[in-house]
Amino acid sequence: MEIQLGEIESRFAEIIWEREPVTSSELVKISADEFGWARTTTHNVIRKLVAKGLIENNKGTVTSIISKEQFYSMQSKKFVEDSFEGSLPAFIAAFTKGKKLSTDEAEAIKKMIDEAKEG
Amino acid sequence: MDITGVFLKIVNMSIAASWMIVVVILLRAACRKAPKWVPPILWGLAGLRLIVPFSLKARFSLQPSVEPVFRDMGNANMIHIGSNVKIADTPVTKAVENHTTQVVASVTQGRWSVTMILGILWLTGVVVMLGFALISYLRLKRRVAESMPLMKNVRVCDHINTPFILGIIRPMIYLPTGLDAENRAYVLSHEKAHLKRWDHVWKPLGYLLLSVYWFNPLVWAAYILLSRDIEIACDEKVIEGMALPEKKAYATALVDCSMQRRMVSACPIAFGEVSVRERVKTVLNYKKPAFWIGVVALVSCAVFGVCFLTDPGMSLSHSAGKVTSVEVADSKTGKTLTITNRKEIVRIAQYVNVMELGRKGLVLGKKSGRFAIQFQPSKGKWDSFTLESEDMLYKAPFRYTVKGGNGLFGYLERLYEKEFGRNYESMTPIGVTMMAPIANSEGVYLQFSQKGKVSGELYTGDAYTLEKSLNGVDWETVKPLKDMGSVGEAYRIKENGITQMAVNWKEQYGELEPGEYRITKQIFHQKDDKTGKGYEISAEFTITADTENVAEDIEVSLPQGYLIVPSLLDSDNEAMILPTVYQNAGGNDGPPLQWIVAGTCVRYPADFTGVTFRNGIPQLSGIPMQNHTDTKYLEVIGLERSTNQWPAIMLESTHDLYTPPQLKDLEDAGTDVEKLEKTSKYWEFWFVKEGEEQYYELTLSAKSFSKEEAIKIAKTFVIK
Repeated sequence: MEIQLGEIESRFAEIIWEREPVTSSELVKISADEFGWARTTTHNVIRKLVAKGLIENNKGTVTSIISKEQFYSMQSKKFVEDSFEGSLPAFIAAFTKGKKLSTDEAEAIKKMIDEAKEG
Repeated sequence: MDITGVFLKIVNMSIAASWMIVVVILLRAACRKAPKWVPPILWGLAGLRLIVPFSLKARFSLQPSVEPVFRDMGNANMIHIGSNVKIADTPVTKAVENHTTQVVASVTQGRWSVTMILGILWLTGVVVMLGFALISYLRLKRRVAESMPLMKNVRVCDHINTPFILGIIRPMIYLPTGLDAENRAYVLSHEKAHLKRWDHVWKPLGYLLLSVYWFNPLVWAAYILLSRDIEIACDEKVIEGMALPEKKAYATALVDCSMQRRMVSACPIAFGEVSVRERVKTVLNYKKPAFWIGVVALVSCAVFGVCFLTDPGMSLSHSAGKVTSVEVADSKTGKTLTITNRKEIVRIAQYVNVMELGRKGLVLGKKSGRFAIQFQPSKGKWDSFTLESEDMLYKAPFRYTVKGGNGLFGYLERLYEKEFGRNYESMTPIGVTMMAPIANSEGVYLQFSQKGKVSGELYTGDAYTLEKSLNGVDWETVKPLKDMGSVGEAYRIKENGITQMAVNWKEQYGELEPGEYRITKQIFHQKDDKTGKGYEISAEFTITADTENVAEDIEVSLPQGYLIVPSLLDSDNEAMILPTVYQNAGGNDGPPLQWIVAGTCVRYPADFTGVTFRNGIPQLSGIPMQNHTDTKYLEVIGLERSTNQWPAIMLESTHDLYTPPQLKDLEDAGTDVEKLEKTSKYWEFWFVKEGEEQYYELTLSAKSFSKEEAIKIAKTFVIK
């Protein structure tokens, strides 16, 4: 069974592995101190990790189902499909959809870089 | 301010800025070698044009004027295109103040003008754009809640795949997780460069402008190009100090990050989403520019700013109202033409909009102010006109002479010629026409006809000028025998109706010779806002040689405003005193003229009456009765008078103005019979003398004269 975690989620999981069993309230406090997370944010992440089957939350006490060693041994160089969908709002991004370079295009440009000379 | 006003202002500003945007696009393409921080500055200046609603005047402005024809505001007004916009100093009231003339044209259909609907549409668009932004912002904020700090002002997040900066006042850089160390370093320096350039402020500001000007595709183009230019400028900033190897590394990072790679160390699609090839080329070709290039660039930007942020002076007013008429005047003949045709007015406004000023190449710019346009025809042809305005900024009047243009001038000339045949009426923009239908050597009877809506009230006074035609072309002022001075009487000119005025100039001019004459009166328009404007109006009339009318037999001293003229029924024996004082609701079937005028003078054969005398004194009897009239004998007056001043039997007569069937007909036709004057009362004086063959009757309306006044007038009655 494979579990994919993003970097943030991994770091959060670390806290749980380190301190379990730990109450959700404590997790809230720790997250707030270390990352400035709001209570809802912490609870959301806990929920996600529960849904992924990594941990369980028993009446406010959080414990891991899969241990740290088990988790990292499961990781392969697999590709994480990120949950992010949609583009950034126009006032932040440039509005034009960046075209993803094809491999050929990328090679061509890299060649251009290599051949670039000073002056 | 109302939506329509704001919207129109926005449209105007957008059009003005559009030129600037086009120029920036061209400059940008032309100056590829220029430092990359230049284009964003140019965009900034264009943005300034979109923000600031007014602009400074400069002689060297290159801003062309594109003023939309349609403007829509406030109260009524007009364009005066006259060589002499005459302000009357009428004796009526205090000096004419404040003659505001403003140019505006608008399209309105009832309460819901097209402009208003467009304004609401525009506002909706703005709300949508801003709402969109707000919602996106909130969602993004929620998304990056699950982020962790990396360093000061930098956080990493799983759920994003492009770095960005969030927040204007306390900006925070968000990086996606999964960047390898090297790429992350470059990404970070790129984002930090954004911060140093304050792009996290300019970008949202640009979006705000985009929200307001969403209807203008050029503004969209500007925003998109601005975004690109910002990215490129940032790249340049990052690699400023780098040697070639490092630049290559940065360029490689750009490429790496634009390939869609599905790894834990997934890269952002592009940190900037701009054409990678372009950016790589910029990076590779970057050379630190010489110092002087920077200076030149700055100076050029400044020059550009001045050229396009300023306006070339005069423009058309934006203030109140819709053009209701255009007045064209010919200084030579003094005739004026008022154009009230909607289509013609809009056309004229279009011409005035794009008129070229005397200064070469400049066109009328945009400005708010008040002005009047005056024509100066030379040699009888229209070839220039003067634009005079009170500059709102500098509070000084300034004038421009406009030359040439077959367009407007030719057009106006045609209109003018079409109108001025042998038309002796003259009309003013307040919808007043004056006619002089009856005249004799002692005076003229005037009729003012007013049509169309006018705000406020219209007055005229006792004063007038008389001119006599010399040879059919030239006019010579008739010199009064004595100066009458300013009389303070004001007479109200009725809206949508006819106002009469009888001018008796016997005292002032004596009896005038037959000929063609012209009388000029002043009309004062007192508007609702207590400002006023004067107009001159003329009417021509003919005095013919005196007739055999009874009026020649007698002489009577009538007060100002009354004129005795031969009866319109062309009788030698009958004369009437104008104006009419009782109303005639029946038209041709109404009461006889003699029963509604101010008075009459009739000559009768003596044996038409049954008047008897005792010792030379007339008895109170013998006056012939009239139909529909109730007569009462009063007294005999004037016994004390001398030879040709005969005594008179005085009666009081009340005439029924309508028969019962007539009343019924009127009521059926919808007239409010309750409000009608159903009778007219007259003081009648029968001047009789024993032994004479003709008697004279003078009647004076009780409405105009009290009994005493009537008697006073009767006592001036002299049989010549």
